[in-house]
Amino acid sequence: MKNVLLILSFIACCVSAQEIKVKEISKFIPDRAGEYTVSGISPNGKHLLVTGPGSKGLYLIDIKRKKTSTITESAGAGYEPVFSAEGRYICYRSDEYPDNKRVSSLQKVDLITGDTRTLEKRVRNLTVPAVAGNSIVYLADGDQRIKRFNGMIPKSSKEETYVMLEDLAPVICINGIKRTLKPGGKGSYIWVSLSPDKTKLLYCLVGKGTFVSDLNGNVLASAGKLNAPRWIDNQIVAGMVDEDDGMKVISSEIVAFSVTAKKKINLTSTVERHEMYPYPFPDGKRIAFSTSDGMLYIMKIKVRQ
Amino acid sequence: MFRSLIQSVTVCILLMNGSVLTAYSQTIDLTGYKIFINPGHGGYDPNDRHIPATGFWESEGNLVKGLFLRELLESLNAMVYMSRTANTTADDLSLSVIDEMANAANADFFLSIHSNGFDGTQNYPLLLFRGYDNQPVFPEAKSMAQIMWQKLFEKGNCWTSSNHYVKGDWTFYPEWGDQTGLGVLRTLTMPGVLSEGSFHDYIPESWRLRNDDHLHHESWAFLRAFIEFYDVMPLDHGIVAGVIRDTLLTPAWYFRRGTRDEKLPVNGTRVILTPGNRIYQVDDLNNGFFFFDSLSPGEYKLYFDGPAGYTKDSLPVSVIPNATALADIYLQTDTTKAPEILGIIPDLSDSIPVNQEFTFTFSMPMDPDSVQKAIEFNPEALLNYQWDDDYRTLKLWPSAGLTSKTAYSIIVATAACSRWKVNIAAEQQYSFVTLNRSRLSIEKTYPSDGQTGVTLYPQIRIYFDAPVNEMSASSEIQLVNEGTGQPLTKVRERFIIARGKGAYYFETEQQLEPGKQYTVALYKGLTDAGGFSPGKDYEFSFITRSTIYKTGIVIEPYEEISKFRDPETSGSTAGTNNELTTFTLSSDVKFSGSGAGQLDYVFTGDAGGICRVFDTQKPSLGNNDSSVFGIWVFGDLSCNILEYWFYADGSVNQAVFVDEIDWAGWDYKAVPLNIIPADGEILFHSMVIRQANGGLTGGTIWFDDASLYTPPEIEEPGIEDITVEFRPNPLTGTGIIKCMLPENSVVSVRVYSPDGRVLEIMDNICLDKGVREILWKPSPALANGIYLIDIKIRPFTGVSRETITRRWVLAR
Ligand SMILES: [Zn+2]
Repeated sequence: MKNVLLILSFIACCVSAQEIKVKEISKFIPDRAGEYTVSGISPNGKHLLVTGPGSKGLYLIDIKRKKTSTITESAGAGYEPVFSAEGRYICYRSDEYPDNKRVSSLQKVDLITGDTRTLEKRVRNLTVPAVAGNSIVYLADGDQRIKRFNGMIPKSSKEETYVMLEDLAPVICINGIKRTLKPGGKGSYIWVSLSPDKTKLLYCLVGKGTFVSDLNGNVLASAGKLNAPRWIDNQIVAGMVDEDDGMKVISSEIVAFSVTAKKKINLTSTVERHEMYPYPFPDGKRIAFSTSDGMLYIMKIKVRQ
Repeated sequence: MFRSLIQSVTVCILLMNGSVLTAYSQTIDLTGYKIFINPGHGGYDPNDRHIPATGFWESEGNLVKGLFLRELLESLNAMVYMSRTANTTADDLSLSVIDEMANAANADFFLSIHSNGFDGTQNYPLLLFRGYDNQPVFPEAKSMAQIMWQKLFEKGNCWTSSNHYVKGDWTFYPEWGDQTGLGVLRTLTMPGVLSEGSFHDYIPESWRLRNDDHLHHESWAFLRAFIEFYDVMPLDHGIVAGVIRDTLLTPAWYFRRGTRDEKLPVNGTRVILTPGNRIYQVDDLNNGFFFFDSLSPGEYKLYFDGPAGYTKDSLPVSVIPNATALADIYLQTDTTKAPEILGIIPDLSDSIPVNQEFTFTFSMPMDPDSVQKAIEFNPEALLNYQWDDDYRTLKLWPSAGLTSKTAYSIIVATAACSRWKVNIAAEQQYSFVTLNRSRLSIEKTYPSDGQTGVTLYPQIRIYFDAPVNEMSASSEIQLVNEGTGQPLTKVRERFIIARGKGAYYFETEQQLEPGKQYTVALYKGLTDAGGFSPGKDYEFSFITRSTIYKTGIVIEPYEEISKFRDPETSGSTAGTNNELTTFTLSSDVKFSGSGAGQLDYVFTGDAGGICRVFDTQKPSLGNNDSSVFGIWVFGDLSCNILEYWFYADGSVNQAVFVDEIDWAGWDYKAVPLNIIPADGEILFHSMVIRQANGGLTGGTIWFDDASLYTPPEIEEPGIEDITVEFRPNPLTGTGIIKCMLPENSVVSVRVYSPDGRVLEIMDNICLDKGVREILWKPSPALANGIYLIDIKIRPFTGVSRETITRRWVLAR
């Protein structure tokens, strides 16, 4: 299949000291056709991790060669999988439904050897893992567990700062001390993450919008409606502004939000295409996203500090 | 409320066939399960669904069901998350946010609760899961959808279909794009189902949905589904529910024939359940619904104490655990009672016009013959009679009118008896005086005096307060061309007599000339049956449309009627009398060729009727933005709405408002193709009459020579005109008023309600020349109907003004 290159009108906008520019948006067609959503990007930026409808399956695509390899076909595997810092391991949760009752397992894949190890088997209530340094942290039936990517020897992750969701509330762990942090007060929190420098918390408070706070719960900026937000760098996040008619999505655009300038900038503005679920590359120079019909795109951006 | 749901633990269940199954995997409750409930929509906003006829809001119904389901699930120790627990705009969450809440909560199952809407004639449960029908994304979602459908279906008995509507959303909504489907199931990481429990636009169901217990009943059905799906021990208690209806009366709203909904629900009955003496007071919301939950299995008896006039009744009922026993009852009128006259319309203390229609309402169904014989006017008058379906309401009117300025009495003798032959208790006598009538008066004309833009093929109509003498009308009424002073030859004269009044219709042999003034003259010699004349000459004038018609290539000549389906089998038709609603070939009234399509229609209710004629040939119109599609339509002055329906891009239906039928005679009714949103080919497939509030409940319309006009590539350059477009029409969400302004202008917009009240004013908006758009977002509180939009445009320079008034149909 041929790679179709679409160059859209350049959207440039000045945001205070920063300037974010869309340089190019191109459709990314892997060798295997499918309905994909981006689930992750390898730390070196060379691979896309994608999943199918219902977060079923996990596939690693070599961006340069457009070659797809199957990590798993398991149900649920595409929801918030994690890479180890050096990119050798992927951890994901997978679901099974014996007699309709869901049980989840936690798998670790070694991308070099191709080995898969089961870290947790058929747990009734398993959270997705959070990365803390060289370890992952998760709850299995309410029990907190920490496992190292490498060697899997339980280890204190004291020096690490991470966030995870417990019962729709962000729980921050700093130096081994966990505390629930609800900067916007009562409510349901989703899409929580820490900035790459681990100084800011990004979250969506359901019904109120998306916000950035410091780790003491002081709200730094309000982005308004910005769904599925993720950090581009320490100052800018990307998300989607999707609209629906109560039944189906009728429009969606990728929008960037500058925490310092407190401004939103449209990175796409296409009526006919609904761009969703942006996933910034670790280098902050590209954003992968999918459209409502399951097509993948990669956008090149330029951020000037 | 329901009682405690704590149960004793057993591992054996007696199955229906009597065998005993040992179920070791069965759990006693839902401990450890996380259920995510999404009560659909929220906030009474444009995404909400509202049924003005019953006052139902989908956001409310979904929430009541969801909150009660939470209570039920929590009583079985499940952990429940909800996407909303109130009904404000902030609760109208993005579908992506709802899904992420369920994902982040790590829910085991996701249920989106809705009710359905289509064309007002359907009622059945529809369960949707993600994927294709036979290729679900989560197989567990499909099995749950099947279980839920069964539980929902079993709890009711007023369905219009027993089809197993359990569908994959990719199969069900192909027009949304392959593998697109419902946004709310799209990004779930767990099995999820969207339930459309019943149809809120089917009026009998819509009334039931106003009853919280009916909504709670749906929650119970969901609970039973979760119990079966997760193999939890079934409930050891059951429900008794039912609807109380009148044995004889039929509802005034649409209902499906052959269903229980064809009898009128009785309001206000007190229902007592024994043993236990539990009482249910039926509401006044036209549903007749009663409900008792958490009943121990066993034999019970229901006692019904209905409103005055109904015989008390009772019904035995067996309660079975984990199920509903449906116990409908039809209350009998107390047939031994003497019938009463409940009232007469009009008020007889005022003077009465000579052609007055009188309406008698009786307390129970009557024997029509006995009543007609028992009613006598003094002085004598020849009467016409019309009964309603239940023989409780009689309309009567003097066929030739009463004598003017005369004292009358009406006697209803005791011979008048009920259907069960019980006579009225005493003779009734009423008296009144007629108004003075000394001349024949003209009540209404088409065209009206001073009307402009009249079709070149009008059917002139003159409505009188009494039937006219046919001979005198033929000779004393003329249509004159003001330019030539010559009368035109009249053809197809018709003399109408209805309800003591009369009308005279005629057409002309030759088409009228464009942009000319015509006058209809009624001379003194005109008389009615009683010999009264108008007293003096009377005339009214109108001006024809300024241009000739631009019609194009005929793509449907209406010569072969078998190509068309009768309204009854055209789909979407609703609220019509099927026998009297037909589409046939007319050889008498036609625009060209040897025939035209004749649509006779009768709506059964006061509102909401739709009459569709489907053209099985579906002629293609191509898709040229500058093309115009039109049909010659012989209007019936019914003030109902004419729509053309098209298929765009395959099978996406596009209903296009054409006009309010406010003309009589042939007129070419056209719509530009560019108002149909389509990328590909457009097919024309149906002519539709939509019943309007205040429109006539019946009429006859003819169709001939549908054609497609494509203007030549280069139109002669003319003066740039102001043009205004309203889209979409009918309007469902936000509407756009698109103006082409040749100059910078000041624009004022006013929106009027159907009864003429000013609803919205946007005054003095300054707009630069060019194409400009003004948005109108109708308030959710506005009922469906026709709204008048008045646009005044005044250029910055100069004083010339243009006022454009259009009708905008709101159909949500
Ligand atoms: Zn709905």
